[in-house]
Amino acid sequence: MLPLRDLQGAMAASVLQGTDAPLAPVVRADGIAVDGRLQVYRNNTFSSLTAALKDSFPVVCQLVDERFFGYAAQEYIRANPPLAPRLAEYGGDVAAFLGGFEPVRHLAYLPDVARLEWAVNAAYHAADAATLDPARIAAVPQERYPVLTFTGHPSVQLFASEFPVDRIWQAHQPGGDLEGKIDLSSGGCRLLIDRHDQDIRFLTLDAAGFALAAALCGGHPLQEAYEKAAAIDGAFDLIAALSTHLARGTFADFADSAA
Amino acid sequence: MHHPGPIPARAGIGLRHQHYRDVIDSLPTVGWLEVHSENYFGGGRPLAFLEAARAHYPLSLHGVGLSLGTDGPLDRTHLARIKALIARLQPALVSEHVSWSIAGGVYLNDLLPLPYTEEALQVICGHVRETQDFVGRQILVENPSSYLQFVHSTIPEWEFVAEISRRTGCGLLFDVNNVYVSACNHGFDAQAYVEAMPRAAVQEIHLAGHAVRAIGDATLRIDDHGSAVCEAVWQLYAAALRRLGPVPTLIEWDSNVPELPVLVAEAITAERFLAQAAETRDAAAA
Repeated sequence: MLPLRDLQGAMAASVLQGTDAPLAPVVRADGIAVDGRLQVYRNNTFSSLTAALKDSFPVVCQLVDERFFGYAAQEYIRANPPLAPRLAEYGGDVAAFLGGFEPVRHLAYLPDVARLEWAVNAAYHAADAATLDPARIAAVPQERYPVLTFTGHPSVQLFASEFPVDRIWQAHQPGGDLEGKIDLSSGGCRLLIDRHDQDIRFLTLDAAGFALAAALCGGHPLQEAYEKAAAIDGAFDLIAALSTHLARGTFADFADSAA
Repeated sequence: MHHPGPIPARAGIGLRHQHYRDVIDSLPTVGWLEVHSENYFGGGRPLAFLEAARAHYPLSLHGVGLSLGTDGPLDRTHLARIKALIARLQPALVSEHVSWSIAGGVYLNDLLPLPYTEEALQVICGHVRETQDFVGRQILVENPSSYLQFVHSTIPEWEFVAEISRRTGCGLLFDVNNVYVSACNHGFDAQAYVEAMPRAAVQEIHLAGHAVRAIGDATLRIDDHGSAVCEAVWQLYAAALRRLGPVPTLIEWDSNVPELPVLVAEAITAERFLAQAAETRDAAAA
């Protein structure tokens, strides 16, 4: 008798790698070949995981078409099966996988579209948290500002690409404009993505604004973050940038690190 | 927050993301809702929708990922998230499956069949006890559907399922469609399965549609939750209610998900069966 643990290992190998032979002696045929029975389980796993990936990467799916997506998903699932029973967390390696996937080598922007969709997915599933009330910052004496540190809202994702993947993403949303051509060499994008009132929002940033947001969300004090931005753009308007973030709710909290 | 409960002996529907808006906007006249616990572990937008719906309906949390039947340790992270979700949503019922989904650290996202042996019984009973101890309440376990049987199984499935309840004190979630699917696939008597269910343990019933697939010259029924409940399953449901009395009943629909009114119409059909079962019970008691 096959011990349960070995049976389960053999069945997982059958589902993922198609190795049915070790199970043939322990499965009753009863008029249907053993591999036909095991094929049902293979279909269940691959079709449900493909559907989960399609839910998380709908734009990638549209860009390569559904049939090719199904093929790519199958290769991905075989190489990167889920390690936890939480499908919202499944697909974190899709961008890297596509980057090394020969059949889509000519679509240089595709991995970045996947990365953007994964960031949107992370924002969608992030924990809820209240946003920092701007009045709390207004109450801080100005001389304390340089040492203030901020905690990004849990849904905040910072995303940069050398391709205009934000426009590609927008065009493939329901009601998006699929007719207009997007020039891939028209420049990249830098985005702050977050969730507000359950809706996903994109804030487009320039290089300096992106450096500021990344530094602040990374826990650097305001003075340091400003210096990173000013190194890129000597005329960087810190007050305007900070006001935008406070008004939008980019932060969940702040601390006066020297207090 | 107000948390309606317990689950009445009425028909409920499985709440899926396609229907979040419709359910919150139209508040259909169904008795209760059930959701897949794992979809709400991340919080965020799904949980916000669920909490909005939950304010109006009794709730059941149905897990699909714990893998009670795996010979190996239970995922404590998973258990902790279930416990946190229970604390937050205060569900009237919490359920899982008589099956396994994880082997060697890989999650197959499917409910795979166990061999019905004393070894497997001890594994799953250990995990049911561990889960009940960890979350601090009784859980229900659901009988599976399957497409193969193992040569070394020694216990009929219905005895295996009933024995889990007897040994651990867990309740049972009796899936009528699963019984029908497996009875057709394996040639056992669905009615005998119904008769073997311990009345007091069954606290919930599941109904769903399934597909029929040709495999060579034979056919297999596939539990895809992708269509309306078929006539044979309604008849088996009626037989189950005659034995068990009115039991809270859920309509599940997970693939080719239809518009909400189609799902609600299935629930209304189930309520007619439940009303009849209640009359029969009351007549017998009179």
